[in-house]
Amino acid sequence: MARSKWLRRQSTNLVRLAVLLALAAVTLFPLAWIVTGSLKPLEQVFAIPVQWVPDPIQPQNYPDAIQATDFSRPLLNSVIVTSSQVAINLVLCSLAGFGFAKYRFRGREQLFLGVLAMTLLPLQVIMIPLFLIVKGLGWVNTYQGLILPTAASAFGVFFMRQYISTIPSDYVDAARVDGASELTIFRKVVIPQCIPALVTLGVMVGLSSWDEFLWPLIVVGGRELATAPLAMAQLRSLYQTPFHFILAVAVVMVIPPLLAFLFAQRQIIQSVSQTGIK
Amino acid sequence: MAVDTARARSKLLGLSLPRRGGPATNESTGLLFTLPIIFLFVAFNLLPTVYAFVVSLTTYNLFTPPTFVGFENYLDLLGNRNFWQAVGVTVGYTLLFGPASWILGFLIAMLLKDTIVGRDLFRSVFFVPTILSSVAMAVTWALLLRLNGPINGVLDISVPWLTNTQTALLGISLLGIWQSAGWFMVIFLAGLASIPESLTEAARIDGAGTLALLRHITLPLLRPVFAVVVVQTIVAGLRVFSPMFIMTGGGPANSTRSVAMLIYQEGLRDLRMGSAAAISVIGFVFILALTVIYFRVFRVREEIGY
Repeated sequence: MARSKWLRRQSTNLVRLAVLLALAAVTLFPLAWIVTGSLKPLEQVFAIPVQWVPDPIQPQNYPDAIQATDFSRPLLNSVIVTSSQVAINLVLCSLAGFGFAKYRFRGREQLFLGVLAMTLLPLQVIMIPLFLIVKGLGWVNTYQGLILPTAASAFGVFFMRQYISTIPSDYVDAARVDGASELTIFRKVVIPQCIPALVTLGVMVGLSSWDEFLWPLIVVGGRELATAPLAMAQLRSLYQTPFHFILAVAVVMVIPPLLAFLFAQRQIIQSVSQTGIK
Repeated sequence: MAVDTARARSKLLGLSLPRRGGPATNESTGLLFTLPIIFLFVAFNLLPTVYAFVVSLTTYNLFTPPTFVGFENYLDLLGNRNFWQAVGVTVGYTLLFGPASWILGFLIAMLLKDTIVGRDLFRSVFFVPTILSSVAMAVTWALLLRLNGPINGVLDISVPWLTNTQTALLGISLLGIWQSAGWFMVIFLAGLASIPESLTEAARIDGAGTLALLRHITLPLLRPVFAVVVVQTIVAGLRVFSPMFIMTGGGPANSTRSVAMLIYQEGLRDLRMGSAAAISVIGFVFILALTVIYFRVFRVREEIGY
């Protein structure tokens, strides 16, 4: 009796595993094709049946592709934009989170709900007036125009507030009794306890910032300020870039988010499952 | 203790209203700390939202001063074929990628819910597509979906995915499914983990089979999660821009031009700011209605308090 139950459980597990493996294979198929393709000679990219092992393996595709597509400047621009937006949010979201979590002031609840509402306001419905405002500021085709308008993360404020709420107020009060200024309390008491949350926030903001396409498309005019996604999209529309180069550049673009994922996988998955808001 | 569990629970639920109270201190300091980021929200989110409405009442092409036309832009949209086609494309995309991603995500979550060999590795594999650069993926998927591409090759078919009005939206949706199934998997996994073990155990002892368990315990208890997932899907549909812009340019014959893409083309390519703003306002009102529902949903979740 017990043995047959054990057998049945093992066989269901085997079925589960088989289905999972099949689904994983389907999920990984496009990635495998992209990565192997980026290492192939051009004429093997579209070989049918798919040639999974490039012959010869051409790592030289990578430097060649970056050079042929002039991709180092866009990569640099993306690094600048992403790190600026991460830095802005690390500072401003934790400040605001501290303000919302540990202080009482008139209109606090309304203000916080207002911030929450921002998480549901997509750029798509404000892109036209936002462009007009940024144009009025004379910020079209500038770094500040590229960085500031889409920088603030409402999710970040919410996230930091939730986290700072869990820090016992006694710490804050004790420091205050010792005569620390409010800003010192923030820097010396709150921030050191927020490191795990700041890591998560940095990764989440970094991921979406690296991925941003619509706003750069609107605000960037020339080649100089083009971010990596913009330059990538242009490769496609120009249709002059050899396919194995396109694949190599795509892999390069995917490496930073992949590293971030490997580095902070637990935090990313946790924050997605807790809030469901990227 | 009671406060701690309540806080832990609200953290799990993802939303809680601010506690009343908190330590009494100088009122203005807290407000001061929130101001820098509030300023960014006001300047670049709130102001544009109001401004969209103002612009939508004018005709404006950036070069000649705007002229006030009242609600003419809105009335024009009612009879505008392009607008309704874009609405159709957006709804179609949402229906094509949404339910398929939910089902896949749910299936995977069910398969990964209990211990199994390589559980964490599987979870990572399925989740990874959601974080990869979506532009890079759109460009490469356009190659994957070519007539002589590997997807046709492996399936031994020759579907002109992106160049045929019948299949272009479906082709783009395949990318959407690939990218969102893992996202929904994570959300469903969290939902499944919140169902008390004792409940399923009790039902099992009472002789409930896997299907009965699913129908009478798991699915009903996940209802709040489904509501969130549906809202997220609708918003994602309304936002969809880059796959269309990159993979098909909205074509062939505008068969993949989404609402977001129409706003972009009307406003920034054809310089009809008023008309583009009017579409934006309609989208905004739609999102606003959805937001109200969304917050209701969260309140429902709090009431259920699983």
